[in-house]
Amino acid sequence: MIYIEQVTKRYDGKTVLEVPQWRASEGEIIGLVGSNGAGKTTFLRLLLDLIEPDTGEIQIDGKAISGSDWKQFTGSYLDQRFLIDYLSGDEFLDFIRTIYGLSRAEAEQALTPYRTFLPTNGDANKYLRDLSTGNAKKVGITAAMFVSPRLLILDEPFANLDPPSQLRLKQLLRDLHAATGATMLISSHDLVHVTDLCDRITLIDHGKVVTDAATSDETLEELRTFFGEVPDTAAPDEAAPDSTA
Amino acid sequence: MPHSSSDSSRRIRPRSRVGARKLLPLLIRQQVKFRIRSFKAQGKLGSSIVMTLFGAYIAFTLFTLGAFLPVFVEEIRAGMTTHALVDRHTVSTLVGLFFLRFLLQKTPKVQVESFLHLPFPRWLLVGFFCAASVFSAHNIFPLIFAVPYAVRHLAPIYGALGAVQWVAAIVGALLVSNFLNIYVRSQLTNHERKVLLGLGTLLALTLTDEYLGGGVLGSLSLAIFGDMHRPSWMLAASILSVVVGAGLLASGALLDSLRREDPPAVPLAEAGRLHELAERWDLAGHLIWLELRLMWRNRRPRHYLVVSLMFSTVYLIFLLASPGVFDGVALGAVIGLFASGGFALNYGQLMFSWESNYMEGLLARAVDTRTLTRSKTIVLQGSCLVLFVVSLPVFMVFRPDLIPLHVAFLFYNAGVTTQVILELATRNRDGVDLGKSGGFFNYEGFSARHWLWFLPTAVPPTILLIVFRDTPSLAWSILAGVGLLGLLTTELWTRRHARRVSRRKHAMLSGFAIRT
Repeated sequence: MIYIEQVTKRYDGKTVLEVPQWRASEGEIIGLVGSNGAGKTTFLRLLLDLIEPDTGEIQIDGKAISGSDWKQFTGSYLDQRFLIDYLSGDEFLDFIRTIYGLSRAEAEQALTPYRTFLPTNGDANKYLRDLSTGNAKKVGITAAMFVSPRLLILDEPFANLDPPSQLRLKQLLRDLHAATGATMLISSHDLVHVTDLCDRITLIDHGKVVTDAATSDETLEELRTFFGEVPDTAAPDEAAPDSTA
Repeated sequence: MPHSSSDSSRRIRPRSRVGARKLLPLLIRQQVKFRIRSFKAQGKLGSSIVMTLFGAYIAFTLFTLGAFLPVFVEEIRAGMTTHALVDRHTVSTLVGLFFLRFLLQKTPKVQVESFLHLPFPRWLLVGFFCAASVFSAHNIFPLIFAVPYAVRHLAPIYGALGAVQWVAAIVGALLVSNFLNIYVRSQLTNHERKVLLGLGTLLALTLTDEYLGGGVLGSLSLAIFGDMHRPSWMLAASILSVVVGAGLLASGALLDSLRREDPPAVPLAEAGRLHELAERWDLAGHLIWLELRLMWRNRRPRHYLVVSLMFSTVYLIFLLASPGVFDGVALGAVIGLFASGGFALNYGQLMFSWESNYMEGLLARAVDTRTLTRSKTIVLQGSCLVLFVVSLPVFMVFRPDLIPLHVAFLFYNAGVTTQVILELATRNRDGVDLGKSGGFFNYEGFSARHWLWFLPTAVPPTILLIVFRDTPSLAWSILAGVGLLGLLTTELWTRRHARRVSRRKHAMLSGFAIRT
C-alpha cells in the first residue's frame, strides 16, 4: 500500500528525516510514535505530498504520490489547517462529502456512527473557529473517516479530546477497520492508545526509524523504557495535594 | 496533614507587581527589535529597493513642493498669496489624508492583543501603542512638505516663532487625525454599518463641497489656520489640549474595543438557493460557493467587496459627473479597469493566499488543481459581470457616450485582467490569516510585486487609448476583441494556471505555513 524508499528531508541543511526503507501493507494499523520534533509529522506530511522530499521516492498503491490518484481513497487530518474555519461543522462535512462524490443520502448514512462523537446539536451550527479545539478536532477527524477511506492518516488524534471521546474514537477506528479493512497510520504520544489499537509500531527518533515491529504484550513496556518513563515512586507527603493552600 | 516548615518554604510566594516604570522600557526594547527584525524578515531585496525608491520619490516631490511653493502658485494661480491658498485648503487636504489613513493605516489593536496575556496593565499597553502609532508614514510625509514651506516662506514673514507655531498646528492636526482614525476603527468592530455610512456621508459632502464649489471647507480652513502663524500662548495651549483630548478618546475607544468580542458573521442571504445551484455544478460549484462564503464571512475580503462596489457606484458618480475631470485619456483606462474589474484587481491578487489557512487540507484531499483554478477564474469573471451591471446605470445617466468603453473593458477585464491577476496569484507565497486580519484595509500578504503587477494590466489598454485617441471606437473595439479572445481561451489559461499551482504547491504551502 505505502512504499517509501531512500527518503530524506532537510531544512536549512539539517536532515530532519531519513528513512532508507519503509512499507505499509493493505489493512495494517500502524502507530507512529516518537518524542516532540522526532519527525513524525514531517513523515506524515511527506506521505500526503504537502512537502517534497529532498531525495527518495514515495508511492501509494504503486503510484508516485506526485499524481493525485491516492487522494480519491485517502482520508487525513493532521491539524487545524485541515479545517475551513468559517464553515460550520455541518457545512464542512457537506463540503467534504462533495469532494469525495458522496450523495447527501450516502453521507447521512455514513455519518450515523459519528453522531455520538461529533459536537452536540448546539455546536453543529457554529463556525468551526468558534468551537473549542477538541470539538473542532472531532469534526476534522470525522471528515477524514466518514468517507470510508482505504487509507487513513491521522496526526495525534487523541490529543485535546476528553477521555470519553478518546474511547469513542478508538472504537470508531476499530469499527472502520473492521468494516472496510482500511490501512491506518496514526501518530500519537499516547502509548496506551497506540499499543491498544495498532498492530504495528514505528518508533521515530531524531528523524530515523529506530524500531518497526509488530505490537506484542511487551511493546508498551519497551516503549516506556525507551522514553525513560520512571515508575511512580514519589514519597506520599510530596505527592499529596497541599490542603492548606 | 500538617506540613513541615520546609514544605511551606517550598510554596510559591506571590510576587510583587512589576511597576509601569520597569515595564515601559521593556515594551520599547521589544518594539525596536520588532521593527528591525520585521524589516530584515522581509528578505526581498527587489521589493525593498522599489519601495525605498518610491518613498524617496514621494519625499523629494513633497520637499520640492514645500520649499518652492510660491513658484508653483505663481504658475497655477497667478496673483494669489501662497499662504492664503495653503490656509484655504489645509482642512480639505487633512480630510483627504484622513480617508487615505483610514484605508491604509493599521490599528494598534492587534499589537495590543498580543501582549494581553502578559502581566502588563491594559492602560499601559493601550497608551504605549497609541503613542507609538504617531511614528507612522501618514504623519511624517506631510511634514516633509510643511517644514520646508514654513522655514522658507512663513518664517521670513511671521518670524521663527510664527513658523514654529504653524508647524505645531499641522503636527497637532495630524496627531488628531491619527487618534481619530484609531477611534473610528475601534467603533468599526461593533458598529460597522453606522461607521461606514457616516464616513461615506462625510466623503460625499466633502467631495460635493470641493467639486461643486460650496466653499464651506475653505471658509472653515481659513477660520482655523488663518491666524495660526501669529504667535499666541492661548493658541498653542488650545492645540495641545485638542491633541491630548483626541489621544484620550482614542485610548478609551481602543481599551473598550478590547473588552468586546467580534460580532458573529452575517449569514449569506439566499443561501439555500445558491447552495442548490452549487450542488448542480459538482465540485467546481462547491468551490465557488466556498469562495463566496469566504468573502462574506471574513471581514477583510468583505471589505474588498464593499469597496469595489463603492468604487463602481458612488466614486464613479463623482468621476463621471465632475466636468473636466474625465478629460485625460489615461483616466479612461483607470475608470474602465476599475468600474468592472476593481474586485478582480484587488481581491484576485491574493486568490490562493486567502485560503492559506486551509490550503493544506484542500490539497491533501481529492481537490484537483484544475477544478480549483477553474472555480477561481469563474469567481473573478463573474465579479466583472456583476460590477459591470452595477455601474452601467451610472454611465447611462452621466456619460452615455462612454458605455462602449465600459462594454469594451468588461470583455478586457473578464478575458485578460482576470488571467493576468491569476498568473500573479499563482506566484504568491505570502499567506493571509483571515482570523487575525482584523483591521480595515490590512495589506498583509501584499508586496511591492503586487503593486508592480498592476502595470502589465493597466499599461497596455492605456497605451492603446492614447495611440488611438482620435479614433476611440477603434481602440475600444481592439480592447473588446482582445478580451473576447481571452474569454474564448479561458480553458487554456486555466490549464496553465493549474499546472503552475501543481508545480509550485510545495513552495506555496511552505510560505503559507509561516503565516499560519
